[in-house]
Amino acid sequence: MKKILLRQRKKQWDEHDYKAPWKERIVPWMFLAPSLFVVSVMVLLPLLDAFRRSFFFAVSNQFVGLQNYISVLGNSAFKLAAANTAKFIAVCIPLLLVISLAVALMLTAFQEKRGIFKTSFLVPMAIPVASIVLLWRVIFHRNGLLNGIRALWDAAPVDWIGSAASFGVLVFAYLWKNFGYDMVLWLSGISAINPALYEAAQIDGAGSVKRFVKITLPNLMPTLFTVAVLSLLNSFKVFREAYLIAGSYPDDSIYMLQHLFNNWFSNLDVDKMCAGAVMMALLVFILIMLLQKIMNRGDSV
Amino acid sequence: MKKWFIGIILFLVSVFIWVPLWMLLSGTLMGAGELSWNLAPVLESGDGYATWPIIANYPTLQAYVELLLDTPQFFTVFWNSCKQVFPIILGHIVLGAPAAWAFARFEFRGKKVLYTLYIVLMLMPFQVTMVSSYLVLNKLGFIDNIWAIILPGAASTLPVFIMTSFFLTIPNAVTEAAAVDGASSFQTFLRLGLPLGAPGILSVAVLGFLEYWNAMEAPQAFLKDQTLWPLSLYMANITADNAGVSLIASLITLMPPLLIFLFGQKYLEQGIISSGMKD
Amino acid sequence: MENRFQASGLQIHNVNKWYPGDVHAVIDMNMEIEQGEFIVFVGPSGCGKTTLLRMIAGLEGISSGEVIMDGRIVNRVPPKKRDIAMVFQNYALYPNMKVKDNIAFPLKMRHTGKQETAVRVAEVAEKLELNTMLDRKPGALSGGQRQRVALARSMVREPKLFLMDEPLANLDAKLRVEMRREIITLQRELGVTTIYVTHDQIEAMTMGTRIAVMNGGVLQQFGTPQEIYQHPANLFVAGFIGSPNMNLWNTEFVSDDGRCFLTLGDARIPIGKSSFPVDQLQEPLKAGIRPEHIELVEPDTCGAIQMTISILENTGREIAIFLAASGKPDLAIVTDADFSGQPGQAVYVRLKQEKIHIFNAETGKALR
Repeated sequence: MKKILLRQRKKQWDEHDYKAPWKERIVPWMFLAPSLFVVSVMVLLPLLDAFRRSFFFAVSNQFVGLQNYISVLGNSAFKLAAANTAKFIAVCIPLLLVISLAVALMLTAFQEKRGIFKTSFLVPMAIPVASIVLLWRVIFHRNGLLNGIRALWDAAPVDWIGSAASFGVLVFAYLWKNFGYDMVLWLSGISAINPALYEAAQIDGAGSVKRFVKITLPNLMPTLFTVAVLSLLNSFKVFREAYLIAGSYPDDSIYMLQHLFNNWFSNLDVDKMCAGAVMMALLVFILIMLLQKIMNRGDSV
Repeated sequence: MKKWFIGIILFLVSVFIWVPLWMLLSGTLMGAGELSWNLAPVLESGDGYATWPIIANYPTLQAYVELLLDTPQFFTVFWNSCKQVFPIILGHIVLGAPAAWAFARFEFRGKKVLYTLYIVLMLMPFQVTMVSSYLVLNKLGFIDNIWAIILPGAASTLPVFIMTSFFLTIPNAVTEAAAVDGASSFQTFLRLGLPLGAPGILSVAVLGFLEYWNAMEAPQAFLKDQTLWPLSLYMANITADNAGVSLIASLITLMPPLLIFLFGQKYLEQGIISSGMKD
Repeated sequence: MENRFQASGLQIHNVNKWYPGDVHAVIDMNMEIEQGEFIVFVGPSGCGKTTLLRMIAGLEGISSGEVIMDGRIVNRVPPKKRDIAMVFQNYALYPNMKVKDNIAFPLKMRHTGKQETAVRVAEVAEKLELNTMLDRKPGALSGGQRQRVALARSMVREPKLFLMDEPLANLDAKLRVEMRREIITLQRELGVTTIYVTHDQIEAMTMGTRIAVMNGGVLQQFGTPQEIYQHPANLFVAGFIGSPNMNLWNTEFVSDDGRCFLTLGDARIPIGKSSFPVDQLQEPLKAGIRPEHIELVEPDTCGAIQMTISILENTGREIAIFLAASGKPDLAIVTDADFSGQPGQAVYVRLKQEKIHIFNAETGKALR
């Protein structure tokens, strides 16, 4: 009886709901306001505008439906750039993940001089691409240092930058700069694993390989997804290396989406850019949502 | 695996990192003559291969003198970089810290949606926003103006995300105590949020500096006027014919971020870790 | 309308708290608290005591009902305008401020003059023996010192109400006893109405002028320590307060030739009939008696019951003896420290019949 009464009261209550005075409710919005204003004006509204424009011709401002999308997708430069970007991601991300994980694990196992090693691996993050790229040019030039070393074994010189090999140079330059970032993420994931798990496994007689497979790897699954997402999104910045090493019109093998966007931009090809940006945003959005879903699943296991 | 073996691998990886940096440094000490002799095959596309001695054979500071005394335009470019990077970082803090405080300490309608929106925006590559930013900057008359770099940079949502995760570590009881003790929301933010969230703010500053000192995409797109170019772009366009000067320009370009890195490595790491934290 | 409320003190009228997901944390709470009282909210964890305290502080919304301070409904008054001071379980000191700035903070927020602030801080620091550590940061203090800083910060102003949320829970036993006395002394001195939350019944008994025993979000009994101890309102209060716990067993009321008995397993304890509401005695009953109301007696004493010692717990001042016997519930008693029995030994006990409590086993309500 009492319960029913209480339930009724609660229902009445839910209808009114507890409302803090408006003075209190407005407080978080006051903190948010400056950021929200700038983000809206500089990013959000322009993005919506770009979305609208992607369905119009820039010149005549005439609605053309998916025309812009079709012309982008049919563009041979777009096909090349998209394929290259996909290839770069497919090659670079797994390499980056594996190398940074390996280094993080070794660093954990090799306790001494940890600070020095960590600093060493992070230093490239602080080096502007523009500073180091001069050196990459000297090393990978047709008459550069790498070919000089290879010549000692009588290997024929390769034009690393001007040929399809430039893809490898790009991967190298990207890994050199970015594996420290991922390593820090891995290290924090490793340090979050409860040491009692290892002790328990050791008492149960599990060898080091078994401990790695049964404890370290499964416990790093959530970290894996985080590292993967961030690496993926950071990988768009490889354009800096690509541009600095080989300029606006590099070898076909490293002609990336970013080059394409830049070239469209130079020609003020607004309809194409809008359509391209919308597609790219959509892709990134889907990737984020997908990975978040997997990430959440990884947590609940 | 044996420990010494791991040590050797780690050592080799570090060498791999440090060698290019060392080469850069030693290169700056080579005289113009030595450098062009060493690099002749690269610069003149002749035969043979470039060489790079471990230590300059005839070390000289000549190139430094040349850059610092005879290239005044280099200082303009350096100053351009500063004028763009520091206001961006200031913007990150001034706009981002209160927003992060709102996300971390308050419950309000629409918070989850808004926060997700911020995360999505933070993860969008530059190319997605390039055209829309251009259009709005153009409308505001900011193209070929350093505001074209500063405003979109300051609107980044990554700092909000990082600072939110730092603010979340402040125990609730501390801000509740402040509320009971008579502090307004704003006073609580100013007197407790900012000092206690200082590591987060420093992380944002370090990450922001490294990122924007290095930024190329936005200046390239929005600054047609070369006199406004920052170091990163200027470097990309100095020709290799004066290799000595470009090497030193490279070295000077990397000094500020390197110094900030060395003093702020702790914050950089914390920033990276919190950028990887889930919401 | 307004004179429905007393003009001073704190009233809690039909206060409820719901959390999302149908959690009813505080149920129909009613209390009248007088100016200057030291009220203790006590109960097991999750009983709603902290939630109620936080509602009084304004840190938690009030789902329904009213909290009235000095005759004014404060449901929607933000904490900073309620003129209260609060001590948190984890002290909640401001880690970025020196001790003196921590203590001065409530004054600064209320725009007290510099000079007055300095004087007040010095006074309260003196009282709590904090003079030597005013320039340190909380991180450099021990637990007890932090606790004192938290107290000082709450006492630097004279608020209408002190709220303390398990302030001693994180201290070691010895320090806890010291701080307990210190808090009582300070409160008497200042005369500020205080609400103190704890799960520790000894703190509740020793500190409170009145105690509110709560369980499952419901107020079980609200009274002085004596009332609570001597006349527990229900089974929960009877079992929760007192150590060792009150002996409780299922019993039946037997009337035989005009004489009345309560069963204790297969034994019968004679009791006077007069004080019982006889008409309620047909329901299932539980009887209870505190350990100190069971005496060890000679075997030939009238009404003596034979039992066997199973465990002895010597606290130095007294000995708790746990007794067992076949066909009877286990009993705990306390006796002088010079008791020299051994486990396994048989002893005779007698229950002081006038001290026996009787409860309705279903509702838990005390019948006597």
